[in-house]
Amino acid sequence: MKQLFFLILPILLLTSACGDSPDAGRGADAAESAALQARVDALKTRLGKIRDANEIKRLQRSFGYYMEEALWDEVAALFAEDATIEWARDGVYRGRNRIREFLYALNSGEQGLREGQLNEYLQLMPVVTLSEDGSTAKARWRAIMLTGQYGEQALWGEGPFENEYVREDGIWKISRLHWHQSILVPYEGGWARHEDVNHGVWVSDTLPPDAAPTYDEGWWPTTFLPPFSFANPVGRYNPASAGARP
Amino acid sequence: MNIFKLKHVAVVASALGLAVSVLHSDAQNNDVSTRLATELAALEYEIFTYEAENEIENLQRIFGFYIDKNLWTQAADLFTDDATFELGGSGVYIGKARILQYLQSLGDEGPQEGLLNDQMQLQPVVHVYPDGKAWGRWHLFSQEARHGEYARWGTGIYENAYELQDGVWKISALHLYSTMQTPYEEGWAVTALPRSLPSESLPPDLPPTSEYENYPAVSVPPFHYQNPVSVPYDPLAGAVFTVPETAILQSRLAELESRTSLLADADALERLHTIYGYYLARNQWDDLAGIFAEEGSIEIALRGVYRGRASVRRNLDLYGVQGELEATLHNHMQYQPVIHIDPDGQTARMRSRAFSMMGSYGGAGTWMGGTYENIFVKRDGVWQILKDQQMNTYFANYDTGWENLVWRPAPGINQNNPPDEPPSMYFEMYPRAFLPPFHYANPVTGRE
Repeated sequence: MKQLFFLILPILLLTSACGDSPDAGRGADAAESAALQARVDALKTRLGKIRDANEIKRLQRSFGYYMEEALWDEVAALFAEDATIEWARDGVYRGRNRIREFLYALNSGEQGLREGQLNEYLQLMPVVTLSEDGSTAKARWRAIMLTGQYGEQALWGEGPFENEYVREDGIWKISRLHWHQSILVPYEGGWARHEDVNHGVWVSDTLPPDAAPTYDEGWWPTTFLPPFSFANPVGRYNPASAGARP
Repeated sequence: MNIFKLKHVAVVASALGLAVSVLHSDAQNNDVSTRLATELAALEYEIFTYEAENEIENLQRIFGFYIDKNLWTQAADLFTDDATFELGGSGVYIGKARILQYLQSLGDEGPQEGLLNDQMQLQPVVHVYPDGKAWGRWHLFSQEARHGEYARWGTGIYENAYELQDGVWKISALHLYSTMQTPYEEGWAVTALPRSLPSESLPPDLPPTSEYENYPAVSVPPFHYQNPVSVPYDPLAGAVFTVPETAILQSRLAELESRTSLLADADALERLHTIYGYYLARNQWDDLAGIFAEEGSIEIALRGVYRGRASVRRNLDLYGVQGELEATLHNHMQYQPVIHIDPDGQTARMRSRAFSMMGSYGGAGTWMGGTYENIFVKRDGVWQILKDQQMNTYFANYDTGWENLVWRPAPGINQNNPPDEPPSMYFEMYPRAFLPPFHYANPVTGRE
C-alpha cells in the first residue's frame, strides 16, 4: 500500500470587501460562504452516488473474477456478515459462514479449480439503483457461463442476478445475492435440444438451505422473468399519448 | 482535466499563500473560505479519478472495436511509445512501432472477407492511482473464424496498465492471459487448444513473462488489486492535490458541478442502454418503446427506419408477441459501451456490442453478433434514445456455427409492417467484410 499523505496547501488570499462598511462586508461574505458551502455539500452528495455505483460494479465484477477461479474465501469476504445467497433453485443460505459452506459445496469442498475444470463466469450488464439515503443498493446483472470438465462435460450457462448491497463503515458489501438460472445446457446441442442438466439444483440435495427458494422458477425450457429492481427510467409506452400513426 | 496543470497551479499557489496570508484581516471568513477551498480540491481530485476510469474504459473498448476489424494502425496508436504488448504465449513486443509490426503480422489491415474476429472487452475493474498510472482487469470473450478453415470460442483475462500523457490516457502495458480456446464444432469438453507460441517470422523482444498453460491446465492470472472488501480502494489515498485560490471558488465550483453532471450522465446512459437489453430479452415492448424519445427512431438490421415512438413500438412486433416467451430464449446482451457526451450534457453517442443467444426448445438455436451506433438525448433531465441502429455481424445456427456459414443479407423490409424510411445505409454480414462507421475519432491521435 502506498504511503498515505495529503499535501494540502492552504491559500489565504485577501478578499475584497465590497459593502458600505466593513461589518456589512463581513455579513455578505458570511452569506456567500454559506451558499457556497451548501453547493459544495450538494456536489459531495452527487459525487458520492458516482463513487457508490463504481464501487458496486467493481465489487460484483470482482465476485465474478474470484468465482471463476473457485477462490471461495475471497468470494465469501465480499459478503456482509448477515448476507444471503440464493442460487438457481437451491434456496437461501443465510450468513457469511453458510455462504462459505455453500461456495465450497459448489466444488466438492475444494478451493481452487481442479485440473481440467473450466468455470468461466462473466458478469455483464449492470443496472445499479441506489437507495435514497445511499446506504443500500440493488443491481441487476447478467452472467454468461462456460463451464465443465475436460474430457467429460461442457456447458453453456446464462441467467440474471438481482442483488442487494449494503455500505458498512464506508465499504460496499453484498447483502443479498440471487442468481436466476435461465439455462444450463450441454454444449453439444445447446438450448434447442436440452433442458437444464441439473434442473436448477446445484448443492441443496447434499447441503440443505436455510430457507426455501423465493420463487417457483422451474427450469429451462420453462422461462421465468425475475422481477426488476428498477423502474422504467423514462416511462412505459402509452399509445394514447404517442401520436399513434394510422 | 489535466493533472499536470493542477500541479503547476499548486506550486504557484503555495508561493502566493505564503506571501499574502499574513496580510489577511478577516480570520473567520478566511477560515471558511480556506476550508471550502480544501474541500473543493479533494472533490476535484475525486472527479478527475472517475473521469479517468470512464476514459480508460472507453479506451480499452475502443481497442477491442479496432482489433475486431484488423484496424492495426488505429489500435497501435492507442499505446504509449514505450508500451509493452503480450498476448497469450506470444512473448513481449516493446514500443508502439513493434506493436504495430506484430499486429500487422496477424493479417492485412482493415476488415477482411471471410474473417470473424470479435474480441469482446468485458467486466472492467479499473483503478486509478495518484502516480498518474492506472490498471484494469478485463474479461475477454472471443469469437474467431476464418471461413472454410476454422471457428473458435476463446476466453481470457487482461491485466493492463494505462498512463496519462499530455491529458490523454494511453495503454502502457497490455497483457492477455489466455484461458481457453476451443474449436466451435468440438467445444471445451472435447478439445482445448494450447496457448500461442512466439512467432518465428517476427520473434518477440522478450520471451513470455509468465509460465502458464491454457485450460485444461489451471492457472490464476495475477490480480493488480486486492480484495475490494478486505483491502478497500481509496482513490484519495496518496493523492497530491492543490487548493484553489479562494477568489475563484465560485467559478471552480461551477466547473466541478458540470463535470459531475457529465459523470452522472455517463452512468445513466450505460444504465439506459443496458435496460434496453433486458427489455428486449423478454419481449417487453411497451417498456422498450417507452425509453425512446418522442421522435426517436429504431433501425435493426436492414429492416429500415421506424421513426417516432408509435413506429418504434410497431417495429418491435417484428420480433415476437409482447411478453410471450414460453420455451424460448431471446437473450440480447448489450455491452462494451463507448460513450461520448456533448459538453452541454444534452446529447450523447454510444457504440456498443450486441451478442444474442436465441432459439426455442425443440427448434433451432441461433447466435447473433452485432454493433450498435446510437444517439441519446436528455429531455427534462431524463436520457432517452433518439436513434437506435444495430448492424449485425453474423447470424449463426447453433449446430453449425461460423466456419462454413453461408452468406446471406441481414433481415430486410417486412412488407406487412413496413418502415417509415428505407435503411439509412447498407451493410454486409460475415463472411463478407464490413466496418460499421465509428461516431468517434481515435482518442489518442484524433484520426478518423
